[in-house]
Amino acid sequence: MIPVKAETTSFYEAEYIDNIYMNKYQYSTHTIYYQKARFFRKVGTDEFAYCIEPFRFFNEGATYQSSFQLDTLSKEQIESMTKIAYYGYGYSNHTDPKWYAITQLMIWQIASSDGEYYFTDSLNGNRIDIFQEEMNEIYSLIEMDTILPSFSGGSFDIVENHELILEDENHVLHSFTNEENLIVEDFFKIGPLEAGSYEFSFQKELFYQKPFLFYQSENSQNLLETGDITPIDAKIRVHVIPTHLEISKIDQDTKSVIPSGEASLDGAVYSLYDCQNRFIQDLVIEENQALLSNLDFGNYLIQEKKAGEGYLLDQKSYKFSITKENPRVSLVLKNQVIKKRILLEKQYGEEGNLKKEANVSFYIKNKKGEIIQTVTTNEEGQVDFFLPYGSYQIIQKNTTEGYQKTKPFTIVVSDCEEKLLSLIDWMIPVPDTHTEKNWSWFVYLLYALWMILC
Amino acid sequence: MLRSLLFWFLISFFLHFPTTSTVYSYDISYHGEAIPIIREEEKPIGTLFIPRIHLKQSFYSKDSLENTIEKHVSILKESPPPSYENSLFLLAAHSGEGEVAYFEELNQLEIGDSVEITYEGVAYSYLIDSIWEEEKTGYIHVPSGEGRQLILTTCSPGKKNTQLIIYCIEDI
Repeated sequence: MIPVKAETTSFYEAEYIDNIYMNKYQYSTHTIYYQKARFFRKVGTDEFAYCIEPFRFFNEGATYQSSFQLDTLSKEQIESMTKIAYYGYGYSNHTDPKWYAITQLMIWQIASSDGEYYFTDSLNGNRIDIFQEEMNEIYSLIEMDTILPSFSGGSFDIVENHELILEDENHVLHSFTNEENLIVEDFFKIGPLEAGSYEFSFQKELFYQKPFLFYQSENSQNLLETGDITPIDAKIRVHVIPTHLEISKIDQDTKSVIPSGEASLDGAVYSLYDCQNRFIQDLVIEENQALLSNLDFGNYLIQEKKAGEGYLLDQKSYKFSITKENPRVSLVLKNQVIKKRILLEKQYGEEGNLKKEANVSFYIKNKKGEIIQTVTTNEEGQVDFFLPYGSYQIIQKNTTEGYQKTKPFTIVVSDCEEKLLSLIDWMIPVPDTHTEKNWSWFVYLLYALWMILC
Repeated sequence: MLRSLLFWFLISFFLHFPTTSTVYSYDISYHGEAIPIIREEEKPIGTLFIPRIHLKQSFYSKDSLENTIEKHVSILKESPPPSYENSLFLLAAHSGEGEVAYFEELNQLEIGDSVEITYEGVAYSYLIDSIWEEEKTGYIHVPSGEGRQLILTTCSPGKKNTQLIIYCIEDI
């Protein structure tokens, strides 16, 4: 069954094309048909058409019925003919009438294999091989017609809010259109997009904006009117994935987000580099964390640039990868607090006769006045302990009888150097500082008076 | 008779009266025989000023013969001088009565009072940090501390067998 477009029309033999002559040689009958190239046009509209039955005569005045297909032609023939007609006369800059003759000859070659078709130098003259370049151009355009952009049919993963720019290595993208106008020359630009799955399609741009039509007649050769060929669609799928880098800082000693002493994990700065060690950006730790969303897929490296107050700079660098399979990366990074070893030595006594003071305890208070530790000297009068970054007050709790307690003193820990504290409660000899009033003169005066009286 | 008595009285009186500050020393370098020599009058190495009790007294270097509580406010031998950052400078003087009882009002001082010293021409300011008394044993017990520290000590005025110790820290 032939799909028929409800149109009845007729055609006529229109203007000749100067200096172009064509011969058709039919193998089965050994007959040569020769002619000067000439247009077929539709009565009323003057739209041109091609003959698709080279060895059947045209009957002017015959009535034609239009249709999209012909039973007398195979699917392949129809496809080839319509493509030749599409890219032939009228397409782009193919406006010279010679293109009509060239297109007609090429259509005959598809329409019937029972013949040979060629140009001649005059009416029924000698065969000449001309317009080969033009025919190659049409064939090239037809060949290109089947070529889709290099990325069509592909599936792509991109990061949320990132752009995807696809380059068509086949260089055919410019002949396609897209509803979202995402095509710029050979580039297809998508995004930025929110997380989800998307499908983008693009279609071959149609030149004539009308369908091709076959015209059939009972008593005349069938004709083909040029129109758009079956549009080619291409699609790509895009998966938009949110990515996430989270850095959590913990104290190496407390193994938690609680910093030691008066140190602060916040304020640390990490530098982020790509796999080629190119700096990307700095990340600042706030509330023990740094977050970076929608980092592109790839391999990265981070290194601490500045430690939080009271912490030692982490010299290590950390590598990680953001992939579609592993788009969320969480790193727990430790910092070693600055801490000082305190060696406290307690002695008492006279100079040259100092004794080691055992079992003497000291309170260690933090800046808030809270007792954080109590340490006690051993038999050697010594005790050693560590204090993290901060300022501490050391208060002696007990002492040897008769001796004063060491005055409370402050230790500021701002580096890791050991500190030796030698605390000595001295016993110092003092002279007798008591004096009485000198009454001797009064005694002598009394004595003298007594002698006088006597 | 009366003249004789008056003569003895005057001799005795002057023998018990405080002496002057003439400095004596002995040169024993010559044949090992001690020869007394008289040196030039020494100058004090520093002064002690306590505003609350209006005390201003000089003191002499640790090795000076003038460095004795019988004459002046005295530096105790164990004293590292205030020129050291971690110094424990100890000054003692008599209390009670008499002209050399320079520290007789030391018990009127309170924690937070200022004490000023000049030593070798450099001024140092201290604040009283603590005050305590100890049983009089011929020794005082001084706690370990940091920075420039100053101890003023004397017999507790008005108390028997008690030593008053005033501990000062540098006023930074």
